[in-house]
Amino acid sequence: MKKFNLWKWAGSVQVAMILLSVIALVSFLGAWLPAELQPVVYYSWWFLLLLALFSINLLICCLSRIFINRTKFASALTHAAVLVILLGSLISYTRTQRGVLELQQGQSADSMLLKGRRHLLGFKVRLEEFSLAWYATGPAAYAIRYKVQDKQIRGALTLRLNEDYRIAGTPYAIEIAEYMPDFGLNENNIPVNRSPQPNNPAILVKVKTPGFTEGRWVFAKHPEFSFAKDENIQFRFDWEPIIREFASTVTFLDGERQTHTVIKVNHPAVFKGYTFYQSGYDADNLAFTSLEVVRDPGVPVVFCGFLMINLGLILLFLPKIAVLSARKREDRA
Amino acid sequence: MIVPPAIQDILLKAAFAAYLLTAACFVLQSFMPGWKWDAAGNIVLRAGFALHTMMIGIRWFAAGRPPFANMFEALVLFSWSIVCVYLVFRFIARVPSQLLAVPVNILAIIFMFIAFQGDRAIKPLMPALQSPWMSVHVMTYFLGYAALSIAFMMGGLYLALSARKGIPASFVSLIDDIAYRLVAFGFPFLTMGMLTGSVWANAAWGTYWNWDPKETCSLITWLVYVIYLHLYGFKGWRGKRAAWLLAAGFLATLFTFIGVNFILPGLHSYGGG
Repeated sequence: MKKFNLWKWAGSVQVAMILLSVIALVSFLGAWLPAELQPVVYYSWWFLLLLALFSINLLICCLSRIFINRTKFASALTHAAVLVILLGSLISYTRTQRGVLELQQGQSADSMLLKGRRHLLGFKVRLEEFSLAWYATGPAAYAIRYKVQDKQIRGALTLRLNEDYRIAGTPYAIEIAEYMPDFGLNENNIPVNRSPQPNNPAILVKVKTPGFTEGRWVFAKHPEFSFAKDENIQFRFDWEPIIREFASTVTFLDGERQTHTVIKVNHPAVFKGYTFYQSGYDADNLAFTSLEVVRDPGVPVVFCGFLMINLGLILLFLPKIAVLSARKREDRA
Repeated sequence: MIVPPAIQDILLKAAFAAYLLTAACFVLQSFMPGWKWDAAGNIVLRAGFALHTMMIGIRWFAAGRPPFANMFEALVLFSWSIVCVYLVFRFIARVPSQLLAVPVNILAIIFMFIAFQGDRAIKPLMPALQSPWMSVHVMTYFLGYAALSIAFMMGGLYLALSARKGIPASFVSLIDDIAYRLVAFGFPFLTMGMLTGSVWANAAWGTYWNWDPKETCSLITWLVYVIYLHLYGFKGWRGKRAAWLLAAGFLATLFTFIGVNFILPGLHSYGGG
């Protein structure tokens, strides 16, 4: 009978496959839980224990491989990379500071809110300006809802510009005659478009009844606002402009030193080990910004693991794709 | 220069027609073996690929951003990736072309047909998607997905042929071998896709891993292929068992790519619809 070798068993592919299958299964089941319950699984002691057991298995596997066969460098590099990534994750898990910094325009702060407490940053951050920009392109077609009071008829439809629509069972026909992204009135009370920015998107609906046509402006952001002549028919214009960018211009004040920078989504700013992310804004108060502030010492370790695994996999698999085994086999046949 | 949107449509339909014509050539081959239908089919496939590439290029130019943002664009790109992987893999691996060309052709046609059902309007990108990482993340993932999908087709072919009598064992094991090498080709891309996504998430949301359902599913898919590679390499899992693992991997891939968007909510939900 073969003697049981604990070292060999603990670093074996068999154990690795079992552990990975369990991790995959648990991850899969966890994904179906409501979002707020997911951390209960992914950060629970037993899930971390599974990852720890897998790390030990992988470590033993790497060690025995390096010492046994030097030519398997690529394989060892790949597996060591997974260990480095897990190590980085452990550092992130135990050492990350993740806080929130909310500022009004012109206001400065020397701390962030971290788990409900004030956490001093060691420098000051001042919000110079917050800006929000939309895409200027209007809707390709106009989504409107209508209500005809006396007939108790409601409906929703999408119309293109200058396209006629007859509301069945009523005397009304409607047409959208004009679109303005930024509706305003000039000194003579005539509607004018103030800018290409969709600050106040509006459509001019022509309400046609036999012998009379009424032009009526309908506003996406102010549905309650109406200059209707015929109160019997009412409209809503459904249009949510797509946000192009939101950005905070801030100054970091560190003693005498002042650093200006712009923080946008996908463009965080780094200052003295803290990374500042644009995370939120207030649609009703555009002088306000919400930043997420993160200090995660695990990130460089994890990214180093990413580089290692990519290098390792290329070294490991490129020769396997190109091996002309099929050719050779054919030749032999 | 303004390119009329109709050009994209014409190019895409022409590419689709070319892929259908390729399929016709392969069918004719089995009925009229006298003529070189295969060679003709491979030329038409390349022509279709050229048109397909032009369509993606023009859309990229017209949208002013990588055209990988909604389901229509994703499926057009996926169908393109499948043909692209076929051409590159054939060149590196030097495998008999016919064995691969037919499954590739079928996949390209299916995914492009599904793409035609989607909404073709060019929509602007929300802030979270505006990043140079997007093209790297999507391209690496799609090349990986494409190779693994072809590997799945080879696995299916293996299962179909191994059940029949009179087919030489060397031929059947060649299919198994090609499937493995396709995974060897696709797996590094799959890994790069996941890791560039992680780097991007760190730049956009301040966390490189958040157990978002899409992230979790991508990890599971990756693990299925890790298991396949180890069982194939160390435990001698060949043939049927390996083919079934490839099917499991393909299911996981499909679920990650499309299923999650509709079933499980999360950060990636903008990719759906």
